[in-house]
Amino acid sequence: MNRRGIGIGSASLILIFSVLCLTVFSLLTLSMANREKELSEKLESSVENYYAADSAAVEIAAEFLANSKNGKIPSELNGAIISSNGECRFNYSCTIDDRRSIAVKFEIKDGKINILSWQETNIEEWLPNDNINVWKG
Amino acid sequence: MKRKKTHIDTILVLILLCVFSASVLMTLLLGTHIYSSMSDSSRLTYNERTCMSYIAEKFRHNDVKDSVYVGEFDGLNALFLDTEEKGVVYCDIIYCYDGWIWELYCERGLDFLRTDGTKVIEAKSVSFRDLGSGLFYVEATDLDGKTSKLNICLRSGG
Amino acid sequence: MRKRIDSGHGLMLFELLIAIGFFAVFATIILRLFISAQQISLQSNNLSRAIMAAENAAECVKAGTEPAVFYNEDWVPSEQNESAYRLTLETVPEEGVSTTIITVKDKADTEIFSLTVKTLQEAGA
Repeated sequence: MNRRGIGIGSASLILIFSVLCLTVFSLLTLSMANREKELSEKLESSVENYYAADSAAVEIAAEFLANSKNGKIPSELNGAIISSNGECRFNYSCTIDDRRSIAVKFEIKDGKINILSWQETNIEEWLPNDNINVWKG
Repeated sequence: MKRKKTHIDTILVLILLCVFSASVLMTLLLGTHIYSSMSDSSRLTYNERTCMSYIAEKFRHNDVKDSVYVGEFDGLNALFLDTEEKGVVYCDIIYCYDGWIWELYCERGLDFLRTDGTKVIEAKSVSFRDLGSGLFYVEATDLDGKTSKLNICLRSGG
Repeated sequence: MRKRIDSGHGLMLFELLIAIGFFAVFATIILRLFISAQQISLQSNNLSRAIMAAENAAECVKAGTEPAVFYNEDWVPSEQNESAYRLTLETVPEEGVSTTIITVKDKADTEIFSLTVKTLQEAGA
């Protein structure tokens, strides 16, 4: 009696199973790599924006100092509004992106600039979470 | 003689099937190996990046003169970030304990324990150093033993 | 008279050969996808590390200290002869402001990331 072997169709089954598995793995891997790339690009733009705003803030401070040495107190420099909050104390802010900005407070003393604060602040509206458990200890 | 031929045919077909199955298996193993190594690498980079970004942002949000300093909190090396609200000075303390980076926001001067904080992100250890001139050095080791370093300079001089 | 090859084995052999052919084609395509995914992942990992290295260097420049300039394959600061990545710092002094352009490059001198940082030339204590 002739045997029919292991069975016609076993090779096809192995083929279909392996192609399905490999396709799923490759698509998962590719999607993960693309997400990582997007995240890296977001980080790149975030860092670039921060340092661009930081540099702009430094330019403004330097220009203000130069102006103050000439006896001028400008109220606006490079698009940033400079306000005074006390004798020789001033503040301005530079936008980093639509969510953050750098708020600078400084004072001029003896012809030198003294940075009081150089804080990154959020300018996006903050929505509180009402479900936080507060420690009442 | 006929039976031998049949047996040789069967054996040849079986061998071919086995070779095919082995190559399929090897390809599948290669694919899973690539996926798992990428996933591990992605996880490690994410942990490192998130930890350092969190600490850097903390520095940048609190860059006020004489508000940032390194000290000891409950026997642990910690970073202190002071803020003043309505005349009261509050302290944001960042430290590492029990495989986690913790954050504790409290009024300055009050006594708290290391377990009173909130867990933020997993890390084996974090050390903070004030190098002077407003430059701070942060070294963090993750749970896999990988060390990452951060330099951060405060414009206000700390 | 020679008997014909057992038709069951013949069919199976034919099916096996077709399956091997199809598998070879699919495996080539899918392995290419894997390799390109791995390359994308490597590039984005390098970009993240380059960003961190450039940021560290920028902060050192702000403080007026020397940053690490050579990095090995694992992005650990190293000596020049072991380096796989290097930072170049180009300083442009101007009136009241010093501009430093930090560029991260690989062994092939391809730019991975670039950052500009400015520092005040005159600052109070």
